[in-house]
Amino acid sequence: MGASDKFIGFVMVLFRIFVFGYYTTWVIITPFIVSDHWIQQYFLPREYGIIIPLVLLVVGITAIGTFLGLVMIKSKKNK
Amino acid sequence: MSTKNRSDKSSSSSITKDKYTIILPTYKERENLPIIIWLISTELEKCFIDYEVVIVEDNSPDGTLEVAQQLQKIYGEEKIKILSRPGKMGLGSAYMDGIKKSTGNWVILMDADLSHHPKFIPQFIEKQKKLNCEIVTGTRYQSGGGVFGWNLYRKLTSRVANYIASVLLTPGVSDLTGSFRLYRKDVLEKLITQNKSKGYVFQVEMMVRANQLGYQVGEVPITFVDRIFGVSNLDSGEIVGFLKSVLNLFMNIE
Repeated sequence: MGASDKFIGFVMVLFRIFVFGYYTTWVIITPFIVSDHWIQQYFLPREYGIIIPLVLLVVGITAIGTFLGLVMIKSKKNK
Repeated sequence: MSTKNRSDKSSSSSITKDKYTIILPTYKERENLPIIIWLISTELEKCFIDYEVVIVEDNSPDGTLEVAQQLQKIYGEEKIKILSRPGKMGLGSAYMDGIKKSTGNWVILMDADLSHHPKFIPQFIEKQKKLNCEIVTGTRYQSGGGVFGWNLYRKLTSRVANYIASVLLTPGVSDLTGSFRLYRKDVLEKLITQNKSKGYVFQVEMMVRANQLGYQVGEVPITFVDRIFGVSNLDSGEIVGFLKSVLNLFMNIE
């Protein structure tokens, strides 16, 4: 169990490094590269650099809020 | 304030010989108690440490008290003291009552359910002497430390809980919710009287208050082993309760 947990943790860290690198390149470096360069085909149009994180944030906060709300309602009912 | 604390400590510890009191709050620990006492005595006698154990028994229905009394006959009343209380009254009051019975100038708090191994106590003491600090805490989140017997979900919750608490409260300690710690007795008394939290947040508040009062906290990596007998669980209500009380602490500490 310990070894597989370590593996999952390792994958999570790798994923985080990849996302950080990719996003930084996309948002900070690609605007300075000519638009018909071959590397541009690996990145979405730039406005998605704002849209995707925003959607993730809203979904995440909603999920946490719903979880907290549900638990609070449940604990109130038990009383 | 902190400089005053430091100077009176160094003068007292150089004159008197250090004695360590281990406070063990118990509730339904009849299987674990003989093992933990045996481990404490072998580990500490190996290092020639002057110690005593105060068992704070909260009227367990499984006869933990009788087991404690038999152990007292074996190890002697010098080494084992028993405090029998009428029922569960919370961790803070168990420690406070334990302190009143203690004769040592240092106090070690640990769980009696075998999740904390007494072999780390000599390391705590060594760390304290080296740093000349008032508190030493065992940490699961430094290299060399860890958790055994938890699934990934439980590990993640514990990590995230610690992360949230340390971001909000910035106490400068890596393991906030741990409960295996060494305190100078007067420091522990002072911290407990100020502490208003319960459960996991009780341990968090101890560290936050210590930081606020300018006490230095040393850290020793420990391996935590989840309880072998009995169950420990974490439901969603507990998670929300933790968040609420951390937030509460955040609001009330300036």
